[in-house]
Amino acid sequence: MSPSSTKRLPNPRTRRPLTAEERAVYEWQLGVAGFGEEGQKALKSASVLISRVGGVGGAAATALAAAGIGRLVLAHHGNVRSSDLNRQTLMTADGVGKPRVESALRRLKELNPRVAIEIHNANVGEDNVDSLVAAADLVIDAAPLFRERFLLNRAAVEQGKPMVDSAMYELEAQLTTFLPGQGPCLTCLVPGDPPGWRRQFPVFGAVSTMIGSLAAMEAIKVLSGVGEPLVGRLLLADLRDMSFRTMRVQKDPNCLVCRDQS
Amino acid sequence: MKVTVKYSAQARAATGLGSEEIELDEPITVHDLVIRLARQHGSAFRRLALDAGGCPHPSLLVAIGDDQVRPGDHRRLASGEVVTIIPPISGG
Repeated sequence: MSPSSTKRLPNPRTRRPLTAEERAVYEWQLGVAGFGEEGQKALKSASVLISRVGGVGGAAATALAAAGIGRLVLAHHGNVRSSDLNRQTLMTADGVGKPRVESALRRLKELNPRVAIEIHNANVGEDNVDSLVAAADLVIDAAPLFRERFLLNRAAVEQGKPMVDSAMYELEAQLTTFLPGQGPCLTCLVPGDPPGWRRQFPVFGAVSTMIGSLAAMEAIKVLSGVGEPLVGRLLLADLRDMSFRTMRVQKDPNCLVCRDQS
Repeated sequence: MKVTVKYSAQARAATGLGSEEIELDEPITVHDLVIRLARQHGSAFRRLALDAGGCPHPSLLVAIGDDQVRPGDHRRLASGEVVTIIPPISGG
C-alpha cells in the first residue's frame, strides 16, 4: 500500500519545501529510514482534524505539532474542568473554567509556533461534520460519544479521508486506522450504539497519552508513507501486563456506511 | 473440551475476570457461547453482551485467536481456542 500516492493525501509535487530552520528542528526524525526530507515535507503540507483534544486527542495534537504537521484543526466544546486534569495534558490548572481549545492552542503554539492551528469551540455534530472533515487531509477520532464518532466516520468515508480511531478504558486502549476502500470502517466494527457505554469512564492519563501518541504515529505513517498503518487490524493494549496484540478486523459487506465504496 | 475466554474493558469490569476457562461437553458456536456467558455472569455483563431479543449484540467485538468474528457467528469453537470479548470503547 502506498497511501501517499492516493488522492486523499498531499501530492508529492505540491509538497512545501523545508526551511533551514525546520531542518534543524526536525533533525532527529529526518534520519528515520523511509521518512527523511520527503516525509517531513509531506507532514508540513498536511492537515489533521482532531475531534476533541482531551486525554487522547490532546496527546495526539502534541505529538503531531512536535513532529511538524502543517495544520491542525481542533474541535472540542466547553471549558476546562478540574476533573480533566488527570489526563488532558494540554490543559492547565489555571485554565479551569476557560475554553479547552484556547488552552490547547496556547500550549501547542508554545511547543511549535510553525504549526497553523484552527480551533472550534464545538464538538462534531450534524451541522459541522462535513465542513470539519473537508478542512483536513486526515481525521483523528478521539471523542467519547459514539454519535460523534459515527458522524465523523460517515463524513470521512464519503469524502475519502483516512480516519485514525483511538479509544481507552481503565488500563486498556485500542487503536485502528480506517482507509476508505481498504478495509473496514468504524460502522463495520460497531454497527450501532453499544449498550452500556457512558460518557465518563475510569482511566489513567498515562493510558490516554500513550494511545494518543500512537494515534499521532498512525497519522504520520499514513501522511508520509512510512511504515504500515493499522488498516484491517485493531491494536489491543493492556497496560496491566503490558500486553500489545493486534486483531484482524473485517469489512462488513452489509455496512450501511461503506458497502458502496470501492 | 475447554476454551479460554478473555474479557476486555467493561466486560472485564462486569465479570470481575480477566479470563476464564470454560468446560464444554460438546463444541458450540460463538453465538451460543456468548449467550451462555451472559447467563453465567450477572446482569451487568448481560447488558453488554445481548440485545433486547436475547441474541449476541451486533456491536460486541469478538475475536477467536487474533481474528474478529461476528458475535452471532455460527462457527463451532475448537478445543483450546481463545475467545476474546471486547465491548467497544471510546476516547475522552
